[in-house]
Amino acid sequence: MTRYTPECVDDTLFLVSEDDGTRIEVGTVDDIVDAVGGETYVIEYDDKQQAQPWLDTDDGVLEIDVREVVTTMSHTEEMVSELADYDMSTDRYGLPTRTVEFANQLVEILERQGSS
Amino acid sequence: MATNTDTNTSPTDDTASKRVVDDPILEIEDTNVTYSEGDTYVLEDVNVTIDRHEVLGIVGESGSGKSMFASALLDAVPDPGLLTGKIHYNRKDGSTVDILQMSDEELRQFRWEEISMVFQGAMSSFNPTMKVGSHFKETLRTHDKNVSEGMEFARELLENLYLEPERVLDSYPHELSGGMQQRALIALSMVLDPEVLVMDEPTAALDLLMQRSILQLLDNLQSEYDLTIIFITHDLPLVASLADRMAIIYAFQFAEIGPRDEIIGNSAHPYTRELLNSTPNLDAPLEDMQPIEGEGPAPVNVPSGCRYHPRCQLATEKCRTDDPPFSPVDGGGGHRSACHYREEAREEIPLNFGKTAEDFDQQLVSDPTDGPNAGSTATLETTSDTPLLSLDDVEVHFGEEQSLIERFTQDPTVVRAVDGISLDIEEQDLVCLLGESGCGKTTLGKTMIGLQKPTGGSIEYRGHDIWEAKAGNTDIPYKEVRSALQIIHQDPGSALNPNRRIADILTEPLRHTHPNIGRAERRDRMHSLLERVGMTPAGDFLERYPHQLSGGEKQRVALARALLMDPDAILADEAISAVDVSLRIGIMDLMLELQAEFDTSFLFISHDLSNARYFAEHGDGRIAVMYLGEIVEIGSAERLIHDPRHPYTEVLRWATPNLDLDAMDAEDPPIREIDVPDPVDPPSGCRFHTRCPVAREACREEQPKLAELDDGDGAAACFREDPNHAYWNSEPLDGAAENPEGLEQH
Ligand code: SF4
Ligand code: SF4
Repeated sequence: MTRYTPECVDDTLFLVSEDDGTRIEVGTVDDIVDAVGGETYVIEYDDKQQAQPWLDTDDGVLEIDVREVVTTMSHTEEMVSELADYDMSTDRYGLPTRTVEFANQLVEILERQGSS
Repeated sequence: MATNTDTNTSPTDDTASKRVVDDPILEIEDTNVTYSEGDTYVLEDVNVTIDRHEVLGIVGESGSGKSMFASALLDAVPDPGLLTGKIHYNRKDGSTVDILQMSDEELRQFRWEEISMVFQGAMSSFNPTMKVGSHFKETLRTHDKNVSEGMEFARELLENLYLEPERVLDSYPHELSGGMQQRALIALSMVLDPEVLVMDEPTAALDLLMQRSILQLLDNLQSEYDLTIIFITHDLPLVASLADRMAIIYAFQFAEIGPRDEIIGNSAHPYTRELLNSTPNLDAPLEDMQPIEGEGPAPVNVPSGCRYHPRCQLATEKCRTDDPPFSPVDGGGGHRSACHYREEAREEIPLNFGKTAEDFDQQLVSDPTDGPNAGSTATLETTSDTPLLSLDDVEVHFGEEQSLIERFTQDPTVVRAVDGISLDIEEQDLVCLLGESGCGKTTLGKTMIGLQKPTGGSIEYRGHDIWEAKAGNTDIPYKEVRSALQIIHQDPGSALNPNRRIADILTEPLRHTHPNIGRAERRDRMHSLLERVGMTPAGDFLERYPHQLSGGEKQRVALARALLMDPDAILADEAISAVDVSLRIGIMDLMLELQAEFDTSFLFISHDLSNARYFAEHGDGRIAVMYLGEIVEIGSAERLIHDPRHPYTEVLRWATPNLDLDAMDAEDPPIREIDVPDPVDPPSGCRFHTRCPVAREACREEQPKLAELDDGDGAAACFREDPNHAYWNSEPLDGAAENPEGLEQH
């Protein structure tokens, strides 16, 4: 399965296919951070969850640096083709819809973890 | 209340249990977990010994204290709970430690290296920004292990769990299906090579077929790596297939423990016996499946004497005052039970699954008026010309309108959630949609009641196209269609507004259906309906908020709300899977009775054949088996269970709880692949060919059509139904049975 890795050109984030170099523009990192709702995203784990040996939390709290995640986390072809459904130009809340969609998907991924 | 503690234990009990457990790995003595400065017990007086290399299945309903027992074993009781007693852990080298005396650092090493755990919320305990591989590495690193050796072992474990190691290690957790995540968690819990694996409802969120497959894999892992497994669940038949011994927890105490066969076949506790009788399964006569009245107590409200007495049919005055000791049962090989009347329990509460199908048939013949839906057969057979709902070649394809995609990927990602389904639902009909998650059953259900627009084909309500009605192109008002078709969700909690009282929640639909009635009449109607769904005193319940209700009660409110709309059809989407086992039959009976009373049709979605059977057989309905967007077999429950024609139906039958001791022991899943193929890219030809145990070359090329059976009710979509099909002369696929006749039926 082809993965897409992030690449930043002048603060604009692209996802680039590891196979053939196809790229898709996602938006500026600043816009993504705005759409996610801030520089950090916090996940809280309950007592049992935080005891998992792979989790390194501060008393059950994991602070995720949004800027770092979007510039390091790779994605699947499926995710990228869903993004491609959205346009880069149309504004939604003053941001490109694809940027907003990317942020939504990211938040959805982060929300699945931790105690709700 | 937590008095009488010492009567629940006597020194002799302990000796008795030690006699049978000859090489104990864990000895739990006088262990309690209390809250509120010792006033409230959430685990009381536990004295149990666990043998090295055994699989102990522990069964209890939600809120019974069973998870607390799991936490206690790792000294991980949530704050501010207080854990007291002794938990001795005997190492292989003969040394012994008391887990409760360990320092924090000792405990940190002990957990995961010696006792490891997969618990209910574990699927949400990943770090979402870390690949699965890094989770393994991190685990090895924090325990100072050699990472490259450890990763070798991780790959071996993943492979043993039917996963592709490289693919899984290189994925982020969210990229894996639930079944894959759960298996990755099992591999993670084993990567430090622990002696003991504690599993607390590890599979509850998964489909039955995946649950059964995982249990089978656990069974293999247990013997390969000499594990001791403590498997905690609410699902008695599920763990019965794996366990050597079983224990039943009721209201924060052990009610019974013993060898698996003793507990299933010769239990000496009324609760266990009633729990067995209330478990939907495929073997017992339906009429004998009985719910247990009432619910288990809250920790602050534990009854005096025997804590089961308010629900026990054998309770006497003695039971109300004297706490029965948890003592050995005569001749039971380590069998212990906490009941004053063990012999009476065995005599007076017969087990229903020992009966044969013949008994059942006779009952049917001798009492044709039995069952809540008796007499409705006529309605079904003399169907009026126009069905209530009619689906014609319905397709729901997600993600079709994609102009830009082709620019980035070759294949457009279209999920064919529902692909070419035609089905009529009559008035007062009952249809169960059965299948694994991702098979399209929920999408189909929602399409049936007009909540999902089909991308192809049509869906009619009493001859009117629902979507034309919505667009205002028919003479029937859309409002009428909308209120005629109702839904009850899997999780009633999230469907009820938490900020509104039950009275307000129920007023809404009444305003809609009866806009002109006054307050008093509205209240009267809500009152009598709540009483009808078994919520008394109704006045009290009307004033409560959803969080003050139990799961079963919430589901009853959701049902009442749907009924107040005067619907013609109700879609119940996995509506009982969140309800405790002992209460399921009660809710299902209620639905069936109300179906007859309110003249509605029921569409029931489930992944569990025994629940579907209960509904379909009682309600004289059909079961439609779905696989990757298609109906592969449809028919009466009776026919599907006794004479399944599609290999997938047989697989689902294999996955269904069974209480028959002879047929119980885990066997390998009769499928060639555990995971469902990606619905974005379904297999060619017959979609089941990648997993089908009897697939042949022909199945790869051509797609079988759903065809009426000549010699049975319903229809099936498999080439094996056609004796002249090219299938019979083609080669079996890799891993498929050479001789298809070898596909055994239960
Ligand atoms: S002690 Fe009495 S109330 Fe308790 S389970 Fe036995 S018979 Fe029932
Ligand atoms: S058509 Fe072939 S692959 Fe499909 S169910 Fe029948 S035997 Fe199996």
